[in-house]
Amino acid sequence: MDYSKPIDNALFPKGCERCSFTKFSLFMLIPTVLLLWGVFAAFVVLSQGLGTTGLNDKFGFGLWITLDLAVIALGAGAFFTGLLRYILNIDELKNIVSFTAVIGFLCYTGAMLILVLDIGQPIRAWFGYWYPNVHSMLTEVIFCITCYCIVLIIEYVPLILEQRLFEKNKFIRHVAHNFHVYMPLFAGIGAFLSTFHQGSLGGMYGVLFGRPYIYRDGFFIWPWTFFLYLLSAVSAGPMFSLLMVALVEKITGKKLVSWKVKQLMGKIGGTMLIVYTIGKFLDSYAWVNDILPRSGLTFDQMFTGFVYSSFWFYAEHIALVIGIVCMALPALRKIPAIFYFGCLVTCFSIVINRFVMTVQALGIPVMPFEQWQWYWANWAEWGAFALVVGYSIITVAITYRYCPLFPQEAELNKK
Amino acid sequence: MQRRGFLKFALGGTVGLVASPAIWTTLYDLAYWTQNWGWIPRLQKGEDLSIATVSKLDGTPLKVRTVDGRVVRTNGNKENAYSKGGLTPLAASEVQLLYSESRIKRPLKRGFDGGYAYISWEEAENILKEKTGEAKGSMAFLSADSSSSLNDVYSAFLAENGSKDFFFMPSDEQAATLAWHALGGSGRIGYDIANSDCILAVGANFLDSWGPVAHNRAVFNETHQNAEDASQAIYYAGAMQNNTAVVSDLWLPVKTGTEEIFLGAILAELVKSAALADESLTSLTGRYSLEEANKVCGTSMESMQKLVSALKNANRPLVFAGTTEGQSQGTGVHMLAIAVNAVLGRINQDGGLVSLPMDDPLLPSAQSLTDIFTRNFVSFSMQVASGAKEAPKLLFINDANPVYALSKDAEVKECLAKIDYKICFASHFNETCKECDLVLPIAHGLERFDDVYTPYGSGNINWTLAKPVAEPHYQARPLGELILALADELGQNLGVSDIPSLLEKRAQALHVNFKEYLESGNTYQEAFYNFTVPTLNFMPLHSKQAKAPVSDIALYTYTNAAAGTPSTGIPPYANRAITDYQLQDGLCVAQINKATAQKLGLGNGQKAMLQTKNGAMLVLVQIYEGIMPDVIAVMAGLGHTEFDRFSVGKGDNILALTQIDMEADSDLPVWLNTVSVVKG
Amino acid sequence: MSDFKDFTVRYGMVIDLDKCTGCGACMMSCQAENNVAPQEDAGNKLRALNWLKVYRLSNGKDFPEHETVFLPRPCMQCGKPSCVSVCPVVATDKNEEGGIVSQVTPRCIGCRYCMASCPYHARYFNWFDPYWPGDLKEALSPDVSTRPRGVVEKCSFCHHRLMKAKDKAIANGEDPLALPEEAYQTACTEACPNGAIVFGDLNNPEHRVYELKQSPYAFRLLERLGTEPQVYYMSKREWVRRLGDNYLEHEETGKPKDVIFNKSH
Repeated sequence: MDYSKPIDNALFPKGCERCSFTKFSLFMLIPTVLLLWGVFAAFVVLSQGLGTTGLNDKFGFGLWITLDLAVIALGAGAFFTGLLRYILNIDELKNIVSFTAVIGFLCYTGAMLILVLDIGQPIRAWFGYWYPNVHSMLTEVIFCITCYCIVLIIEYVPLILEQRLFEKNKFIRHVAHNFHVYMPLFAGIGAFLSTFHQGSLGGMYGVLFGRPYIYRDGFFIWPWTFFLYLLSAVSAGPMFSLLMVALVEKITGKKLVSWKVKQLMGKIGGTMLIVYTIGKFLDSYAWVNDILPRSGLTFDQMFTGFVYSSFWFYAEHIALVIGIVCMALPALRKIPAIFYFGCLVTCFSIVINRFVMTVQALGIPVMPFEQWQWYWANWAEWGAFALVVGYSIITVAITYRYCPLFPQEAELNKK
Repeated sequence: MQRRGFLKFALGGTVGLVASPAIWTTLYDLAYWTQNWGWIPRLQKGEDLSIATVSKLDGTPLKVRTVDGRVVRTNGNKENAYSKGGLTPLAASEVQLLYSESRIKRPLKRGFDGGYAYISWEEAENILKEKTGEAKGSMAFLSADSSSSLNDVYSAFLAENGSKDFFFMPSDEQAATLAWHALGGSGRIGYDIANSDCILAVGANFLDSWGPVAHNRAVFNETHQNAEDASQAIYYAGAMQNNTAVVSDLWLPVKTGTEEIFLGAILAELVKSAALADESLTSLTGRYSLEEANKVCGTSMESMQKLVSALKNANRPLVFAGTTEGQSQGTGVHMLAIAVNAVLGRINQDGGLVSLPMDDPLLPSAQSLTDIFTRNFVSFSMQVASGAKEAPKLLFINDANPVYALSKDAEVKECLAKIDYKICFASHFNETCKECDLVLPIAHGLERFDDVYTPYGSGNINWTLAKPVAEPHYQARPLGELILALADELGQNLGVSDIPSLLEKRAQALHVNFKEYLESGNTYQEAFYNFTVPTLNFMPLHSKQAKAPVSDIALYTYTNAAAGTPSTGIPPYANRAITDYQLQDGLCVAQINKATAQKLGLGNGQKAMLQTKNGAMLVLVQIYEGIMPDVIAVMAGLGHTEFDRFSVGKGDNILALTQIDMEADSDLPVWLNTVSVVKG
Repeated sequence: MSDFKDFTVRYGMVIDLDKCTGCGACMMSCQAENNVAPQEDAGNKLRALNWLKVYRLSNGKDFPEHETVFLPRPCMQCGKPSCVSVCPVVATDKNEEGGIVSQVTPRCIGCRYCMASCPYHARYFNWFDPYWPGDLKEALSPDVSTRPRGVVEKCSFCHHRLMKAKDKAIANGEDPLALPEEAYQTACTEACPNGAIVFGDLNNPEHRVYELKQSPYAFRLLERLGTEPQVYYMSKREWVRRLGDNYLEHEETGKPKDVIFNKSH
């Protein structure tokens, strides 16, 4: 036994160094506090009802749905990278695919966790399968997301099975190997499911013809909105994964994924972003010049105050252009600061998009004699968010410490 | 275990589970369970009855649904020709009032420490007997409801015990009756709204809370057929676009407190073109003019002329004045309204102002309304408080809530403090109960025999019977029976053995079949027949002093019928009907228009302080253009400190803040519009 | 997606806004009829559960040109309901003669997607468990189940009354699809002392609504969305009718250029 090494040294991935267990435990206090706050909030919400949140009859959807949609878009790195790696055989991506799977897993399970709080009757959550309404976009989303969540678990399992603890267990090693063999199949299923629900999520909003801010019709609902949401996810997803890699690198002080792999991911994301941006601009143009006037409404009527001002509308669009400049121009992309900034503004644009589509859309008066209404998320809603953040940090930290999350780590950090 | 064995077991188990009902039954049970939580009430079925009666809150004829003896709903009575099945918001919420948490469960007696203790009815009866015996010749009785024949029992009981101090809460009825009598009219004053083709309502919110509302609105329904031209024109004069104004043909903005000048100007204008011999009227014209009215009341020449010509051209115009419920503007405004009707030739005419007979009381020693209206509670209270009048030893309060409803100027609390013993009969524990020594739970309107006899605002003699649809809740008792039993104990014979017999006397007086009306819940209506035009003398109008000039900003208090009365508190369901321009964030909302806001330096959503010499209250300002300049409107009925969770903690009581003054000749209280507004 | 759902019998209302004084009798009787729990904090209008809500409308002009109108808003029981197609668990449907959009609260999972979809805000959520303090439970009618927290509810046109009327008709050997107008009326309609609400079968020429809905003064809320509401309003005032829908400045009231829903589905 080497006493200079951390106490749990035997469990670390091969060739990787980790901080002391004490330091690790102290670090874990931060997410634990977040988690406890969230658990308390969840307890209050579940025991007393959703009246304990800041939601109301005008804003049936609020922070939670915004976050759900945002993280599902940002977690799209998992299926997209899986698709590229396993189906399109872009081999370099094997160095990041596990991590994106973990991020995807956390985003999706986090979203489902929040959804359980968000529905008024969690005990009836399974009604979605039992009494499905095939016309509802939400049914499609429920099916795809839960199924895809299972796929993500399957993608996560090999990571655990490769833990050194199981090194000597032939059966487990065998299973782990089989998982790898069949991974293209799961990646394919995942890509299929994701494509549908990412698209449906847009459709979920697009069909709400009583909400002029988000309603799209004709060509602009199918296929336009469908692919727009898909594209927004495949451009923001990889970039969010990159940002998360950078964050983990910052915290651990190690190089985890090679710059080359990152550049490749960025380049792919950037390409998708160009397509998305073109689509988004066309969509907005059609909305302003066709759907709104047909609804008897003007652009200005869609905005008020600061929270619901057109600033966000413009910010969302400009951020996309900035994102393209940063990510698609090779010269700029090569500069790390600009590279990460590009990732950030892209994710920002997507999150803003999900916010305005959820909250702003509900705040707008539809009947001409109505007033604007404001919504503020309260501590319980932020608490549930903290729960997901805390849970995610804990999961990533433990996975990183004990599982071979980054195949390149040992090599990149050789002394 | 072998790998193969394990797989077999797992597979077999899965197939077995899926095939067995275990999973599916559990899932279904889970689904059922989510809707069968113990704390969600289960519905109870039982004998389903529909019992006809009438609301004692606002006289709406009802069909009350009971299920297994529980009172479930008040519905309108479609067979009733007087209301035609309409249901007012107040009557719609009666059941929830009946079961309200604010119901007094048992007799309460105040102890030395000021707190209340439950006592038995036996003890309560002993106290009643003892106190009545002690206070003989020195007692008073305050009642809230002038339309009940049971008042005869109360006033007779009072007379038997040597006192005549029977009062009603202040009302338009009292002011209008006194005005009518002062001008030489006799009997009750009535308004034949049903047969008029052009109504000018000055301040009277007659489609919401003034007069026999259910009837007024049935008439409105009939005269205003969907998508057709109305057969009755409505002109509403008042400071705000209230419930009546919104459906009127013309809203004439008139500043609160200037109604006399407004009516005077119309009178003067009408007199000009009428060939009148009555000197007492023609000589009045010099006192009023349209120009002055426009200046003081805020009206415009155009709308005034429109109104005058509408009244002149109408076949059966009718003019009447009124105030916010429970207030009064003295006799002057009613005298002028009568004068306008007189000039139009509308006294004792079909669809005009009519004089209805004032019947003799049903019991020998009871007082007539004419007598009762010569006394008013506000001046009684003020005189007792100041020591100008000797305080009675005993005061009975029946269902009235003067501590809440009257201005601080009326000095009700001070008056009560000087009275040795106060007994409050009430269904709900209200602010006045809090000031009394003995609080007795009284049967709610749906739990007792009672009646509604020609309520003020009627155009004919009419009568609807109330009967109990259920046993009194908790230990409540019907007051009529209680007083009769008390008189009996004291060896007094009031002339009737029980309340149904009293009501039967009314039936006999009207020559109708008591049982038939009791059963059907129909309203007896006597056709108006008195077409002889009385000789009126308008000289008393000459001695009227012009009211004190209005303050810069005039206060307008209005009621919302849904929001209850001072005696009911806010009904549970009314909390949804009280809007956010009446109450917001626990503060009363004061509505003003843009011009006023600018003048006061206030903006939408800002807080302001309303001040009178009676105190101050914080309000939330809201801009509403349906209110005239220099008027600030606040809803009355908020700011309760008693009743239940649905009444308490909601805004402030503007009624207490309002200032009142006494009208010189009639000694009636006049509600003033004085208020000052500062940024809060 | 949603199609226009036609039925032999389509119950609907014509609400004459020129006759509404905004007294709230409809709101009060609705609550009592449908076992809605009283709400202590109903001052928070964003959380006040109203199957029927009375709005105050303004012509937007300054005093003295200002006019006010009150508008009672029940569920519109749309012909093309935006809420039905979005519900993931078929807790709301329009599948019965009469054309009433149902709300099956024991089925509802409380996702509130229907609330987000309804442009009329006719749907309300049970933010907490219902509570009837003291003896208020005694006043519960045996007709309408109480709802737990966490589910959405809305106006049902007093559907239990329709069921009763149909049962009665069948028992009497009459056609339940040809009920006379007075056989089935909603609680709010019955209550309104002004007769501002007229209720009946929009397809039945013997019912008053049949004629009234064709009046030049009749309009529906947000008609250009294509929801085909079964609730009509009526006013002789142009500005009131104009407030029934969103119009661009140059557009004439009552003649929206497009019905946007039709284009897409």
